[in-house]
Amino acid sequence: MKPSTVLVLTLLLTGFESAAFAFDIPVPRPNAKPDAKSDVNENAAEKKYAEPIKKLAEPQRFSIRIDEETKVAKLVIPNSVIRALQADGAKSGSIFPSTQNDIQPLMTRTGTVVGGALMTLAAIFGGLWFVRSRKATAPTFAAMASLVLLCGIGTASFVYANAGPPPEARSLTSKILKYGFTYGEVQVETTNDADQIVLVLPRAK
Amino acid sequence: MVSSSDTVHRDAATSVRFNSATLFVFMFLGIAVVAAITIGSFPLQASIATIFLFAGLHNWFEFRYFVGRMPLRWGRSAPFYFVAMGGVLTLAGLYWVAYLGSGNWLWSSAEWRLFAALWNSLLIAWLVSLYCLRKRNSKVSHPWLLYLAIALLITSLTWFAPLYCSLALVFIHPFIAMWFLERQIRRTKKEWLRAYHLCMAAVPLLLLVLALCLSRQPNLPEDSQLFWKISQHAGSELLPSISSHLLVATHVFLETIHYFVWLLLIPLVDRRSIPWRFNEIPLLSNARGLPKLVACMFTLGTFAAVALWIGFAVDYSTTRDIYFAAAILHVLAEFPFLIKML
Repeated sequence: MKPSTVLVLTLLLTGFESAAFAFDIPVPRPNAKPDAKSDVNENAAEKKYAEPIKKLAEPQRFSIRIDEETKVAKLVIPNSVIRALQADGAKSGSIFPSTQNDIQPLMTRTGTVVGGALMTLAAIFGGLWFVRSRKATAPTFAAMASLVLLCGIGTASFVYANAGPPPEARSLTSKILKYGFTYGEVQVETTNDADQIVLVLPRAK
Repeated sequence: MVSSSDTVHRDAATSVRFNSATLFVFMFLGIAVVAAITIGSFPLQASIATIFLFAGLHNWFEFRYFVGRMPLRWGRSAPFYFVAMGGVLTLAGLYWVAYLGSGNWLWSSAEWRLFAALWNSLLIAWLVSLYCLRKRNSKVSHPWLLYLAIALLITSLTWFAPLYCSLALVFIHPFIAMWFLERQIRRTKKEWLRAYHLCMAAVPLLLLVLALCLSRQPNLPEDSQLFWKISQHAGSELLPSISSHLLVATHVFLETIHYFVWLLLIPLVDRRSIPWRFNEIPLLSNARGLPKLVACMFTLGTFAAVALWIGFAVDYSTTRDIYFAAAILHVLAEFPFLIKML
């Protein structure tokens, strides 16, 4: 196999892997599936798909993390939660003002479908080219070894990137508190970039 | 039989070539290092200064270079040039429609992303078409399936993250000039090729040094509209986790090299591109060309460059907006000429 072939294959594989990591395709949420009526208006459907209004009766996801650069603890609340509060507040005459800020998902559904279709075609044509180019020149051991190594690294990093944290880190129980309680100041912020409430803690000196 | 005087002449010539190539490397690296330090220290000021000084001027030089390379008769290349010009005008037109329509209620964030994805897809399709037209008569077989796969992969990325791909074009554009120079050196100054490759290898190293030094710098102030625009142009909104100091410095550094290449290096390696040698331009000097039209365009270009300087001096922010809206033309025009040189 020519060095240029290996280089191009490496680039193709890196491209696919980068895309797989960077744009992990979201699993459609059961309560977010647009109905047939809303399919007529794609924008409305997309918004509904992307940002289902959460019912506050359901438990919200919450995480705690440490930020080396933060000086004061921060409680970051996604705007989707704020909107859910507003929706609840509208019924009960709450104090939450309405907001015009829309959460836009990184990928729209159209982008996912078209991008996925194009990527599939790219894989098909890349595969066709690879099969046809193999007839012309036999791959060398070094070329095949580097391809296998690259695939191995790609698979390992894919598995590692998608592996969840250990079970203790996936639940909020009293285990996280040394004395059974804690208190202090917290700065409350809202964000469009998160899908769950996050408590950011400064690292203790 | 080779005489001793021939050997002496050849040695002298080699020595001169060696010296000119070495001088070129030292000059390039010296200027690049000084530029990196200055821009890294004062990115906003450097951005304002470089665009004020070189933006319009480098466009004039580029135009001069492209007109100089345009053949008198297109012949079998006619389809290539038609597709090239059609693509430049169509893509630039679509870009201007979106640019002028920004702020309109029709353009929500989702519409912007959809438009960016479509525009980027059209750009890639246009480039693939140009490459196919360029290579269709080639005797060497090309791996078209592979090219198609790569083009489709890049297009798919533009649909997954359209705005990031548009930002990528901002950062890729300066490298096109470096690629131009490489192709030009291959044609007219082969003895500098290795030296140039060495210089090119230094660019990623300098970018790495910039990244190491500036990644922990606080974000640049965005208290004025101009500063905000400069940071936003370099991607501070799309990449909030990266220091805007680093983003702006990287962008300005690459743009400065881009200006340096067009204003100094290309005329240096290609005597047909020396600005005042108008008789080297076939379309202008040959009676079968379009001397009046080309002369008129050069005059208009000169006026535009001077008007830009005046505009920058009077209202920098507005002129900058107008310039970058118009600059898409030269960004697009570079591609066909580069493909023609491949």
